[in-house]
Amino acid sequence: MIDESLVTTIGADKPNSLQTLRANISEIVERYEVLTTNLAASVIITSPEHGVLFCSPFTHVLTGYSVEDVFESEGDFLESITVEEDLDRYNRARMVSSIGEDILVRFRIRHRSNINLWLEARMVPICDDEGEVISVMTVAIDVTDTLNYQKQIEEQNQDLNDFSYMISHDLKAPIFTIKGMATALAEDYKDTLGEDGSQLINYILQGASRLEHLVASVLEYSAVSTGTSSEQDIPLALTLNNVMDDFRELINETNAQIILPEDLPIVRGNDVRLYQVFSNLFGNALKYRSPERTPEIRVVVKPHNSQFIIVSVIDNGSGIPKERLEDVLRPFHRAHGSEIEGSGIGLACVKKIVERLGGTINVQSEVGSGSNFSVKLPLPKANPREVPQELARAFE
Amino acid sequence: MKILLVDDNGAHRAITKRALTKTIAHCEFIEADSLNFAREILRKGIVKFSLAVVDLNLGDGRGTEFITELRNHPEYNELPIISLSTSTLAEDAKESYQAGASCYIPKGDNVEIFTQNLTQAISYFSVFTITSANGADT
Repeated sequence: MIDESLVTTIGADKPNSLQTLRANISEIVERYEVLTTNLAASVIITSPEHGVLFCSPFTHVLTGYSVEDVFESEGDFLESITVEEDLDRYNRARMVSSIGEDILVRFRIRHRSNINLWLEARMVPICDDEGEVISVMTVAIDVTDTLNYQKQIEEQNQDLNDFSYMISHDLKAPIFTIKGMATALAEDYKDTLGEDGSQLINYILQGASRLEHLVASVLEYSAVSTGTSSEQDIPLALTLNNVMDDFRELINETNAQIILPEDLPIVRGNDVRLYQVFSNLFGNALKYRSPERTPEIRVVVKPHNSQFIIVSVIDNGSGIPKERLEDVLRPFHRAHGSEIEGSGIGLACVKKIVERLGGTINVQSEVGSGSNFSVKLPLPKANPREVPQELARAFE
Repeated sequence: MKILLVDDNGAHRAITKRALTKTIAHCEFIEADSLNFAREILRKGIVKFSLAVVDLNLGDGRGTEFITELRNHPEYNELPIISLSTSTLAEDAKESYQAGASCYIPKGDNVEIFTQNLTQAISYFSVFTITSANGADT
């Protein structure tokens, strides 16, 4: 937000101190010049009638062309150095900003030294009181590195996807063979094997099942980082309703009491991912219930700040021993040994999903009392288009 | 009943045959271990089969190609066709149905469930005689 003192100094004093008015304006211009000189971004302000009104010094660093070159350029300066394939996109953005909408656009330019760079530019129209566009401010930064990293990540994801497919098929085939053949042996040679022999076969079958389970878990875990990540504003009430519907049978069987708050927030995320998070947490709460009491699962919502909210799933189950607490969110760990079926991947997936959404997960637990899994989730973004009125006036 | 079984994995064919034998009285199997060989059998037309069980991942191609060819064949366009695969990807089921399979069964879980799934699928194609647990025909 703009510094209040910058705004109130104009007009605050009486008109007969023209001197004061001039001094105030000088001060503002000076501050403004300091800002734009030191800003590591190119700021170019153009008007339809007068061409370039302002060009920040960093433009020279970003493009290789001097501020004079920008002022002297025929037509739009950035357009003249935009790479051909991106010209359409750049010009479309210019058109949008010229009719009063601000817009973000990414395009490549040819730096004077002949290398190509990716720029990300925000074009902000500056309007008069009637809403007519009098000038457009373009703030551009270099995002070449960011995009390179993004490309690297996309390539790695593709590799991981291919790898997952291979595992899904290639590992499962021999597992099916082991199970099928062991079962066939047990059936056809029952008499020869006797009880001891049949038990050996059982061990083979159990091992194969465990192997299959692990393969499925690895796939699930890798799917978290390569799956869809489209983001929307999701009402948690809907997510939790779906989770409860899916656990209806188990909830009824165990007579579990589910307590939800009256107001569940809307969070920023992906509906499938959020479902996975709460399905996992609810599933665990039910799975690790205490044999001594009726299971009770409470969902509690606590505001954190303007960007995040904390949703806790609290159960009265068996709890997790202190020594194991740190490890419980890691892949392939299980705090309860092998008595209760599980692969130890669920919570690791939850952690990964939550972190990908920009949040965090925290666990507190006490053996004999139960556990509290708290998930910090992002709230929907406030409207990003807020050019402060005072800043707009400074250009009139 | 003559059953065409297409799967490039010999051990899997054995497992599938055992499961089918438990389900259907008097089966006779015609086996193909590749897409090409299955096409040969279709082309030669020596044997007429009443059920086809096709694995999706054949060494030399996709099982769905063969399923489409079966559906386009004048003699077999109404044939009960079961597709199998080891990968439990939703895409496999979708692809199978789009190619014209009557039913998709995953080769996962344990053999009892696999057998049960086959039995259930086949009970929908009621032309077959189902053997009951003690071997008597129903």
